[in-house]
Amino acid sequence: MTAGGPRPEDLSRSALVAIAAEQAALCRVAELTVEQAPAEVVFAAVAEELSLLLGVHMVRALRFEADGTATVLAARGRATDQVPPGTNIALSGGGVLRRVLETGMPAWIADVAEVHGPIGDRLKTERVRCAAAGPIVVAGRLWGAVLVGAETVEALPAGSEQRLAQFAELVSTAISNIESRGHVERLAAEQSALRRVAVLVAHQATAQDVFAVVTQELSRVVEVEMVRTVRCRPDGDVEILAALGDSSQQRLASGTIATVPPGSVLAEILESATPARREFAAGAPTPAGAMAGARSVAGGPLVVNGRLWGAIVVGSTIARGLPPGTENRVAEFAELLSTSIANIESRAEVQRLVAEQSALRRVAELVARQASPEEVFTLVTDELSSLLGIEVVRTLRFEPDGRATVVAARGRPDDPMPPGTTLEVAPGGMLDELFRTGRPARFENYTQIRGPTGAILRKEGTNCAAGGPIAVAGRLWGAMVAATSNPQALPPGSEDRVAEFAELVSTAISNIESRAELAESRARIVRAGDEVRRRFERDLHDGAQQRLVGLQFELQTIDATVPPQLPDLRRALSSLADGLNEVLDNLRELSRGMHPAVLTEGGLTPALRSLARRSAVPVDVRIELAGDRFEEAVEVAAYYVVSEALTNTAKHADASHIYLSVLREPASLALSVADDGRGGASASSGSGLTGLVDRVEAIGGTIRVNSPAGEGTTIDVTLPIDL
Amino acid sequence: MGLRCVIVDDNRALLRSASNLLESEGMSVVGLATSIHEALPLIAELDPDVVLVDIVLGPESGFELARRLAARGDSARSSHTIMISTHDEADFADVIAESPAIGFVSKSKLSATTIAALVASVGHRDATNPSGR
Repeated sequence: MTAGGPRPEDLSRSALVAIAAEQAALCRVAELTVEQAPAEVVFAAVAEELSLLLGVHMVRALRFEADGTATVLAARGRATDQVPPGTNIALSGGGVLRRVLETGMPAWIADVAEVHGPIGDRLKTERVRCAAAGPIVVAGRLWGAVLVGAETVEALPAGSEQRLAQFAELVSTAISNIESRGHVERLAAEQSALRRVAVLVAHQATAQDVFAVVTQELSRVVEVEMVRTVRCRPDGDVEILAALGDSSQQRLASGTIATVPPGSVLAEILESATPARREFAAGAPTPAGAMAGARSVAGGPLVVNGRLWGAIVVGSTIARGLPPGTENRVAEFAELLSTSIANIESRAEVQRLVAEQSALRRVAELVARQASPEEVFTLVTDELSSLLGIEVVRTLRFEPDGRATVVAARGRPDDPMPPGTTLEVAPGGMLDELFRTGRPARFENYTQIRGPTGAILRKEGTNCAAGGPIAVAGRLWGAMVAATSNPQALPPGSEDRVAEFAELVSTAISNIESRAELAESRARIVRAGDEVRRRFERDLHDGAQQRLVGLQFELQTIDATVPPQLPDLRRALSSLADGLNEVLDNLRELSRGMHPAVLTEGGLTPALRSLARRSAVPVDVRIELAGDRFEEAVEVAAYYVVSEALTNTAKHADASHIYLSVLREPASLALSVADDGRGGASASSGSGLTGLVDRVEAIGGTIRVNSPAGEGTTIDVTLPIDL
Repeated sequence: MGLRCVIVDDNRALLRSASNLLESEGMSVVGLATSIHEALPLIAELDPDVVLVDIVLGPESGFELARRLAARGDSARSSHTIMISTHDEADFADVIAESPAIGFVSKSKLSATTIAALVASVGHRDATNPSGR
């Protein structure tokens, strides 16, 4: 664009020569631009060409800074008064640069004497009397200016600024090129930085490593001195994950918890969840806690899986501030970091799930093995402790009086609350909240907690506790509690993990309770059955059997009075008596099968001896019970075990001898029935052994059948006895 | 004159028919009782030759009565106790052997002859073994 230039037909030969020279100069600069020469080379060439073309002794290319100053990028002048590139200068009121900055148009000034301040003084020392400047516009934005100065107005007449503008336009193009090239390079640098971060993530680096590297890379790519990566906390504060080059006094180590400085760029990012930037005048105070001494601060949010997770903020102390669009570039980085965080979190989540699943499996296996509640508590407590990396884990049961009893614990060596301890639920504490809400709870700062429990916890060093409810059959049964002196070891959310374990315990307890209930109901059914059989046997004995015996007596009495001359009547009576005897024999068998009366009258020893006596296969008996009596269910079970075993042996074993031993052990009866038969018996083959297994297990006993083919059968049974 | 006998059984109908039977066979049934509580003073008063005791006396045990009778020691001549039952002798063999009773008679086999034979066998044993019960 050559707006305002003179038309060629109006120009003299010398003017045409001047125009040609000017075109040649522009051409040379343009060539440089096309060759993608570095910015400094283009600036230097422009300064050179302008100096020659216009015959001015001072040429400068400057970039306007965000704070209203300008930075010298290239300069040409007398060796003595050169202003080196990089010099930052304030713009004086009334000067050409100020006018270009304000209007965006070329400007010319006849006498710099009108210019006041340091610039004016400098110009005077440089013997500049007349000055002109043209705007450098890059991507529609006023980027900087080209400034020339001459000793006389004749050397730089009015209108020179328009010629200057053509050069400034070339410079604009060059800068645009360079900027887009720079943008590509930056993109490449960013891409490789991002790649390095991605590799790190792929190698399963820890989140800390990734934050540190991202912070480093960001500071390199964006060229800033200060970088902060923070994570939002539920309480509104932020946790510093990585900090670089912060000149503020406060030590910003990773893990530091900080409040969000009100009115800061960080606050703006977190409120809006969008990138933000702000400039600060030199010396202007930054919000308390924000990046001290920063002239320009920009940043972007970290959004992980759709939720605001944290932010990255960068700051620069140099006067020209951060390049335009820095906030968007930081935001791009933030996006990558967000992806990394999501990866890390999902990886951590997977690892956590795997670890939890393993723990769950181990506990489930234990429960399946019908372990005692104590064993289950101990395992769950240990698993939770190692999973959370927490020293103190307790399982507590709530008592009807509102207190709580420690049923399992993993504590410090000198645990003030070992299992069995019953404690007051400290009002206002974690357990109190959990008890009131029935939901997972977390609590910090036990210094405020009153009462004896608070004192114990303080003495123990507990500063933070997280707990999950144990609910059994819809009722709050107790709680699992993890406690630590370091609140960071139990970050918010830990209570949910504890709760997951508490749920396992709930399941375990429910299983155990339902198993106990099942066993109890089995035992109850067996007892009820025994009772019914015993009563039936008694009814049979007292009723039908006695009545029949009475009839038998009467028949015998009558028989004795029948005269000998009535043989037919005697025969009839004798036949009747035989019939009665047969019925009585049958009833006797029936009633013995129903319930052996001898068991009630004499206990196990005579009952088992009578069984042995009746056995078809000879039995060696060793019974050492010293005439002790046991609970009816135990005696009946023992009786049926022996009875069934003897019957089975007689029927199937082809044995010549049976060895029966019944011994009393501290908490159980130990029965053993062994034979020298063919073996091969199995409790699962639908034999009488199946019924034995049910009967023995119903009262909490154990039964083991060892019957290798050809080696006889041994049945070992233990029956628990109440002492 | 046959043996003097007291029968203890918790079933009154059975007591009567057993009594009729033994009387018809020549024994002298001098008393009947349905429980330990009834039996003890009756036996102390009548001092029979033999007491027939049902093993199952309702909620009580006939063996308990046999033990209490043996423990009396207030009579110069203890009555012989014989356990009776509708159950098989084999079922109670061990309990009977350990009890002071001189023997067992199944109710199906109850007769004056069987009882007399049992008492006679003890009397014989008594002669050879003065310390026997």
